[in-house]
Amino acid sequence: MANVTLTIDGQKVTVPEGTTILKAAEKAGVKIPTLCFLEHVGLRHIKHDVGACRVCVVEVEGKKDLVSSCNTPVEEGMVIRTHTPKVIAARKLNLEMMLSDHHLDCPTCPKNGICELQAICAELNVRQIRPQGEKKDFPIDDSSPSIMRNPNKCILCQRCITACKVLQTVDALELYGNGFDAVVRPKGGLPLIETQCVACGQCALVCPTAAIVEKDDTWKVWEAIADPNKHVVVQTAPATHVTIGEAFGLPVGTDITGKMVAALKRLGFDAVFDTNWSADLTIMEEGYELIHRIKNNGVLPQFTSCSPGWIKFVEEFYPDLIPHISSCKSPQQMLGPIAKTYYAEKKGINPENIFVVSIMPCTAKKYEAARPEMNAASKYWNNPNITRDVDVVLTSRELIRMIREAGIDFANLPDEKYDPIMGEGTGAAQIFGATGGVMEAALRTAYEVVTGKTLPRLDFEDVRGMKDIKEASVNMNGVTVKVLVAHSLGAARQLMDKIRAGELKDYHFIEIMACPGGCIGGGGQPIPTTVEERELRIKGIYERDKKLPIRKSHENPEIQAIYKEFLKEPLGHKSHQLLHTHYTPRGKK
Amino acid sequence: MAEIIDFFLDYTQQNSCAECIPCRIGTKRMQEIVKKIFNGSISDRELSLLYDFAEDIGASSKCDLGKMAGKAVKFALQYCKNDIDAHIKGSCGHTIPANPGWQSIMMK
Repeated sequence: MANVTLTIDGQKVTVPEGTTILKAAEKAGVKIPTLCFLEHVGLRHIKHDVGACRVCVVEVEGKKDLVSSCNTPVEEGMVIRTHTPKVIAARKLNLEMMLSDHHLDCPTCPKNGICELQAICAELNVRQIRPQGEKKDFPIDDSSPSIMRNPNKCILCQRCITACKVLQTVDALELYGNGFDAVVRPKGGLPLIETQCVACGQCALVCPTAAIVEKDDTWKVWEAIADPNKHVVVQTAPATHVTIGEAFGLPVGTDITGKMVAALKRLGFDAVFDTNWSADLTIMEEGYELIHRIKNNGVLPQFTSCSPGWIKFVEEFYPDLIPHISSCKSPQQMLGPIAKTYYAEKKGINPENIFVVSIMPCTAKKYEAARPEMNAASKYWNNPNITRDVDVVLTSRELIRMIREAGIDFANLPDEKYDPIMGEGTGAAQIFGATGGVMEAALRTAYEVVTGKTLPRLDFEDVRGMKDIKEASVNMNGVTVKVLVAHSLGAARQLMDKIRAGELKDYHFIEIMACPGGCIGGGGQPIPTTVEERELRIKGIYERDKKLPIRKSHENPEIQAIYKEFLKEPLGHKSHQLLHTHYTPRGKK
Repeated sequence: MAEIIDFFLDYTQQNSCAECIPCRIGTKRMQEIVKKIFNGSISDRELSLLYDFAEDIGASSKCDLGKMAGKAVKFALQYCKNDIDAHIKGSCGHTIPANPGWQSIMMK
């Protein structure tokens, strides 16, 4: 490709043809402020550069008007100035316009402190809002159990639309209307819950303001903890083990497991369990289900069922492929009913009084826990007073807020250990947090169960990393088990279309994670969650896997104990009662 | 001229794709100020802000619709100042007389 030479603020710079002014300036060491621009929306190849905010405008010699640098390619001999009075005045006035239509309730805003609009106004020294006038006044949409929309805080940057439409191919959001009255809304103006939204929360991760945020359920947890009649237990998802620390100044990807347990105990939870434990349980059930399907000519390939966003995606867009999904519940929904049955029995606690809280990297988990069929414990005891299996789901961000509210000095906490019975997790469970992890964990167990031999090498490097679609194969007693891994629903859609067309028949197992990078890039994770952060967190996940003494699910002593004492065998009667579920075809009628 | 600007800003608002800030919010804010010209409640500060708006919107909108809106207001402020001032003072009736040809026919 040919090179182009241009001048930016007096600096000569040579860049390949097609480079944007913004990138060329970066190379010349000149920083141009941006607001709506977003590079790598979840995956490296997805870019958002509609040029809506007009903050990155610059002056080009010979052109009367300003140009936006994020989406204008460089030309040979261009002379660009990035901070002339005209440019600075335009940037400021554009921000003032934006603020003139913004409800300026910053102190009580959910994004206070991590708002990009706030940050850019500080950066560009905006000190007044000259224009005044009508403000938009839309109702807040809190119909979804996962996500709350406040259109009044929306700056119409449309990042959420890119995340929803291009990254996830769900396409639940639209820019509707003209001029001042325009709004980003769920398709057709319906409440979010009535759309095809899968609650993955990728929109909330990219939203620069608080127009889209997770629903805050922290108060329910504070109340439950304070209630002396309630035995409040909490579980922590694999992906949270390496992410919570970011918010407290620790490097991205730091393993904070011990500190998180300590923090949860200080918050006042009666027992702290690890979703890693139920991830091991999932592997047992899902692995045996796969073996069962292969042996009995069941529907193949089998899909993983851990990602609730992905489950809703199949129900909405590929209801005909539901038989492919593993009937196993996700680890979160496995721990819930076990806490209200096995644990309650062992501890002699009335299951009515057990209150299960989950700390999840995910907004869709809130939706999953609220599904009407997720009340296995109530059915098991035949007691309508037992509430749903998981009572409250908190995202990583909500836990971070609770830790702050309680004034806990997180970074300096001593390491503490999970409580017994459901507190032991293996390395196999730990890697559930990253894309490819469930698959790798399943292969570690399935191989040893089928062949009776010890796996020579535990690490399946082929299914790791940020590539959209990955594949691997393992020989098990003469049968070559072929597996596929995809993350982000856009990549999932590619696979689903192939399966619908009758391809991929010779594959046995497909892992899909709705969010790019897997749960470590989930919609409930700390903001920002960029591709770089996702990669560092993935690194943290595999480092922790290597560190753990047990790295295969079936070797987890607490898992062996529950099968011996309670469940008896994988896919057994009790397992079916408590750990398996069914799915509902949805989609447009 | 003030009416024409008002009319043109109406058109811009109705047709703005709402993607970029200057066109979506800026033209609305300009129109809100322009409307104050009609009842004379516009202040000097607002008039100068209107000029700043016109300059910025004309230069930094994403497409020609917003740019035109900004430029139209800028030209009106530059070249039709008398007309606008007359509006502000409330002394502007019809600056252009009715067609004299018609008048002369009708009067006969």
